Amino acid sequence: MNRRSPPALTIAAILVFCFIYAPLMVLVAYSLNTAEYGVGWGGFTLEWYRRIFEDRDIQRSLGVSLLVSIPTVLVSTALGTVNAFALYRFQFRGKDFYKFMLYIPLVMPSVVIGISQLLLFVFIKKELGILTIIFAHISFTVPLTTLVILGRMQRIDRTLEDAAMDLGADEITTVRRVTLPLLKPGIYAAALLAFPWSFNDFVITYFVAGVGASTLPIRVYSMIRLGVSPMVNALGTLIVLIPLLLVVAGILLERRKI
Amino acid sequence: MSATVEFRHVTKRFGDILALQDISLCLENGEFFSVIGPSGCGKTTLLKLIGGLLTPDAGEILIDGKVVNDIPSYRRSSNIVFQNYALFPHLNVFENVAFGLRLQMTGATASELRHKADKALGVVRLEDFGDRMPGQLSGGQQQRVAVARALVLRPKVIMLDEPLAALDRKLRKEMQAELRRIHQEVGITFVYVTHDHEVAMSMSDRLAVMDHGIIEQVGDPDTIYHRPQTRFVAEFMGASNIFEGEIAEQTDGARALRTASGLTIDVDIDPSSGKTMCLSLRPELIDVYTPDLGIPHQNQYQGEIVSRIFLGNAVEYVVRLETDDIILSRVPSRQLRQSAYKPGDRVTAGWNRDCCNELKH
Repeated sequence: MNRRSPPALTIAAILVFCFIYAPLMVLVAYSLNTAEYGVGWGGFTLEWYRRIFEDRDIQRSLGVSLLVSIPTVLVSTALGTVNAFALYRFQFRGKDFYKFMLYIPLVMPSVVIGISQLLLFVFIKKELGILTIIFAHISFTVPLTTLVILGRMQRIDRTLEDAAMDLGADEITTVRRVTLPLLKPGIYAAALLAFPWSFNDFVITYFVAGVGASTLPIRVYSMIRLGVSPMVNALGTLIVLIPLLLVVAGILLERRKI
Repeated sequence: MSATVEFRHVTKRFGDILALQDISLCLENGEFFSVIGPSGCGKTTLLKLIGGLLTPDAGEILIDGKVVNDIPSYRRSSNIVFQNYALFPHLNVFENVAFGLRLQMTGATASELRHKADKALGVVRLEDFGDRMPGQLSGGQQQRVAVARALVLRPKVIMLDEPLAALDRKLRKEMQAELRRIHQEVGITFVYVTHDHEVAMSMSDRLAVMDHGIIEQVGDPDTIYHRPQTRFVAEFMGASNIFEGEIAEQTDGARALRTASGLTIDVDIDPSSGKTMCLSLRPELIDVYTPDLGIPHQNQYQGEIVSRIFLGNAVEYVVRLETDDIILSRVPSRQLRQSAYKPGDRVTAGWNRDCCNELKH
C-alpha cells in the first residue's frame, strides 16, 4: 500500500498532467496580461475581467446560455430518471437494443447531430431559436443522464425495496421514500454532468441557434473572428473554471457511498 | 392453539425449477418454528411466500385464518428480518424503526411514534442508538435494529432469514439467546430459516426439515433428532450411521436386521411393513472399547479403528467392522485413557437394541 511509485512513473504522470493543462495555464496567464496584442507579457491586470462584466453582449449571451442549459438539465435529468427506471425495473421487447442505442449519441460526431437536428427543424418548419436549442440539447444529454442514473440504480440493494414493501409501503411510497432518496446522489451527479455538456456545447448549438439566440460559446466564437483579445481569454477562463467546479462536485457526489 | 400461518398444497415454480412442491404446513400461534435445509431447498422461497414477496403458483396460504394469496406484501401482517438486514442506509436507526409505524398508524403524533419506536429499541437493548446511522453500527447491532423494525409493527408472524449467518461465533451465541428472549417477551410467531441444524434445534419449539422443495419432516427438535423419518433428515441433523437390510426373526422372538454384508443387528422395532428395513443410528449411541472390557451391549461387533478425530468434548472414531461395514462412533472424552485408541487398534463397537431408529425409506 505504501510503496512509492518508481520515478519514471512519476515523471510520466507529471508530463501527462502538463500536456492536459498547459494550454489552459497559458489561457489563464494571458487573461491576466495587460498587453492587448501580441504574445509578450505586459504586466498583471484584472481589466479584462472587469470589461466582461460590463459587456452587454456577453451578458445577454450568458443569459441565453442559462436559459438553454437550466431547462435542458431539468428536463433531461427527469427523463433520464424515468428512462433508467424503465431500463432497470421492467422487461420489454427491444430493451437491449434500446439500451445500446443510448450509447450511440455519446460517440456520434457533433457535426452529424447538429446537421440532423437542423434538418429536422427545417423539415417540421420550426423556427430556429432558444426553443430549438433546448430541444437539441435535451436530445443529446438524455443518454448521459440515463446512463449515470442507471449506474447508480444498479448499485441499490433490491432487498431494500422488498423491505419497504414488507414494512407496509406500497409501490409508490417505496419509490418515494426509499428508491428516490437512495438515487439522489446519482440524479445530482447526472444533472451536474449534463449542465456543462449543454452549457459548453458549440457545434450542435451553432447549427440550431438561428440568428437571434447566441449562447456564450457562440459569442466567444464570433469575438475571436475579430482577433483574439485578452477579454476572450478571460471569458474562456471563466467558462472553463465554472463548469469544471460543477463536474468535480458531480464526481464527488457520485462517488459518495450509498 | 390456533394456526397463525397455514400452507395448503402450495406449489411454487421458477421457470422449469420446482422450488416448492405441494407443501402443507401449519404454524401454531406464538411458536418458534424453524425451517432448515441445505441451500436451494426452498426454505427462503417458503418465507417469501408468507411475506408476500412471492405468490404461489398453486395452493393457498392463510395468515390468521384468511387466505392471503392475493394480498400484497404491504398489507400482510407479517414482517421479515432480511439476511443482510436491509436497513435503509439513508435513515437513522429511529427512522428505520419508525418507517413501518408511520405507514401503519397514519395520524399518529410524533410522541406516540417516538414512544413505540423507543419501546421496540428497548426490547432489543438499543435504546440510545436512535440517532445513529446504520453504517455506524456493528453487525449484531444492525441485526437487532432489523428485529426491532419488524417487532414494532406487532405482526402476527416474524420471519428471520439466516439472521445469524453474517455474525462471528461468539456474537451468534449471544444473538441466539437474545432472539429466544425476545420471542418469549413478545409472544409473536417466529419463523426462523437456517441451514444450521444445531442453531435450529437449540432455539425452536418445532422445526421442518426441507430438501428439494419438499418438507421431509416436521416435529419438535427431540423427535427430529432421535426419530428421523427419512435418510435425508437423519444425515442432515448431523452424521448418522445408516443400515439397510432384510428383516429377520431371532430365535427368542426379537426382531433383527440382516444386512447384505452379513451384519445382524438386534432391534427393538416393529417393522412397519415389508421384508426390508432401513435404520439410522446416532454416532454418540455407539460405544467403542477394547474387547476385554466386556460391556454387555446387545449388539457387539469386532472391528478396527480406521481414524480418530479429537473434538475436545468428544472423540470420533471411524471403525471398520469385520463385515467391512464402516461405522462412526462419538465417545465423550472424559479421560485421556478413553480416547486413546489409535488407528489400527482392535476394538469392540457396541450399542443396545433400542438405539436404532427406523427410517421410512
